[in-house]
Amino acid sequence: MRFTYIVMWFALLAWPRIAGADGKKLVVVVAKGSELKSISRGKLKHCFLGDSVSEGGKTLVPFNASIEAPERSGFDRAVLGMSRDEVGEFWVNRKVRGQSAAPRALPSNAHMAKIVAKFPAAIGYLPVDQLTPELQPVAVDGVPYTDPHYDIATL
Amino acid sequence: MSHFPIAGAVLLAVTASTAYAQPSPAAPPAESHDAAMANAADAAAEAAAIAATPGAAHPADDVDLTALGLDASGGAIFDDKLNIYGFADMSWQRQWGGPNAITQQSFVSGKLNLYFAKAFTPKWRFLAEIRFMYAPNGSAADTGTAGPSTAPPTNTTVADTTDFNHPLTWGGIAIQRAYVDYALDTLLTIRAGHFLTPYGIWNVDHGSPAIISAYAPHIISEALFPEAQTGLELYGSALVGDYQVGYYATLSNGRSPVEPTQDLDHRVALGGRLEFEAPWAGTFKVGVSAYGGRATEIVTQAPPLPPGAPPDPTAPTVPYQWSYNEHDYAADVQWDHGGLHLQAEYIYHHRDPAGDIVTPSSQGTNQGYYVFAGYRFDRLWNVMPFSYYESWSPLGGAVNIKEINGGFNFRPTPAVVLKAMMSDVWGGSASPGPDLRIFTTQLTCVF
Repeated sequence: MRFTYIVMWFALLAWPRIAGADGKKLVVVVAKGSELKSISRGKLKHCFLGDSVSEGGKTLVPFNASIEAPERSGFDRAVLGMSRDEVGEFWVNRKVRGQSAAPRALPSNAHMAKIVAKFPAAIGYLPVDQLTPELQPVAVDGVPYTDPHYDIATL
Repeated sequence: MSHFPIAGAVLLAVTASTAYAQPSPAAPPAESHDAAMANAADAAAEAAAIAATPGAAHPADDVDLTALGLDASGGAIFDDKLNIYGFADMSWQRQWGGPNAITQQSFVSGKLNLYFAKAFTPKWRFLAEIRFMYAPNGSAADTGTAGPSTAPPTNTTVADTTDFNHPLTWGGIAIQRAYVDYALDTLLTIRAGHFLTPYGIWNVDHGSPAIISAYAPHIISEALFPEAQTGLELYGSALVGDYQVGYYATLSNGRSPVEPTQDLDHRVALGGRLEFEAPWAGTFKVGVSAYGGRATEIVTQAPPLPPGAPPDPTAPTVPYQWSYNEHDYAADVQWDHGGLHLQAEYIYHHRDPAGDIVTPSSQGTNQGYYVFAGYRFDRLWNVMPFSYYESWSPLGGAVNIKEINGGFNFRPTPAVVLKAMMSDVWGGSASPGPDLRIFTTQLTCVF
């Protein structure tokens, strides 16, 4: 009987929660004129998880949306495969290990647009309706954001 | 005792079936610790982040880059502030068990570690980690063997001359690591100073918030590899498609009680590690490590007598050194899939005598492994039930210690971790039950 209770308890805990509805597409962006036109999802993930990633002769410097922003949770889920709590745990653990700190989190999409446009090595992401002429969209795994199969979006 | 294998089997069965579940968004956390950690040195950015409406667009011309600590001219981007942070833990532990076990229970004020991190330029970086301790108060001299020391505990209580000679108990500090990194390239970073030995998983996780259980397996805490070394470390990594390959190479003073400041035997120790990471149904990592060098111990007691010589109780107690050559090897594997976390390590240590003085600890093999499984749920404070099994053969080979552990790790916020853990330990005695049972609860936080 106790064994049955244990099984039921774990099954209840493990029951998946329902995923959210479709959101706005998030476009990975760099400064206009950059040689970076496409990046693999794996490299993008490593870049935003603190590993040093070079593209076009430059070491990329990632910038995140603020932790509360829907852009951040959408990007973390689609690219890093992590929930908000998992991302927090990941960075806290890295700091305890003495490894590099999290990418800077910017307070707004306007900050993201300006910083990425200004710094040639910066890479970030924005909702599709926040793109500016100074920014260059980057395809992910060769899939441009205009493709219907592009799947990086807010939750 | 017999419930642990059942719980472990249930855990594995359930986690295997749920590992393929659809990822789901988590409930919003109580605090944005990630953002705070990312911007710890930038109060202005934090204030702006709090004031900003999430997702709201601001006119780009109003964005002040200098308020974020960035060079508005578009120069290098790096955080040059001195970042100070740390972690602390406190526990309650009870142990009891077989006929030879000592029954005791205690509250324990454990680790209090402070980090100091600073980047001087995008390539130059400094990190120090200092542990504040009550030790040597209450601690006995290390006898070089596992288990409780037979030496009397130290009492550091003194009269505080600055406070009317009231009793004051002092403690010490331990410099866990202090080094400078120079990142020549993603393929090569040169590290100089006192650093944690790059081997396995647990020794790198290092701090109580990052490790899942309340304490490390014996094969880690008994330092089959040196926990830290002083010298040079070269490391780097490369992405090959979606795969990552990394390496570490170390050149150091080797193992000794004074290794941060002296190489007693004037022989460098060499070590290295290769690791591979692949996005196979989540993240799969595997690594192999090796270390070799001469270790020199300093002991203050009567030197060992030649074989067959009668004991001499009047022999003077003097400091003397003895050495051994060690060869250590390790392999580790880790797989994360959603909330499922599996890891295992095997460590082998062998030593041979070096020099004229041979002690019972100068030779032999010390080896063991552990296998760990856990699953992080996204509810009930992000609870992770976990279990691990360890087998350890200490130096001498006469005893094989087996241990099964199970518990829960709660993470209500990324910076706060609660643990409850039960351990059954068998050390080869003839008694039917475990030789020792340990129940531990631990609260740890990052600040």
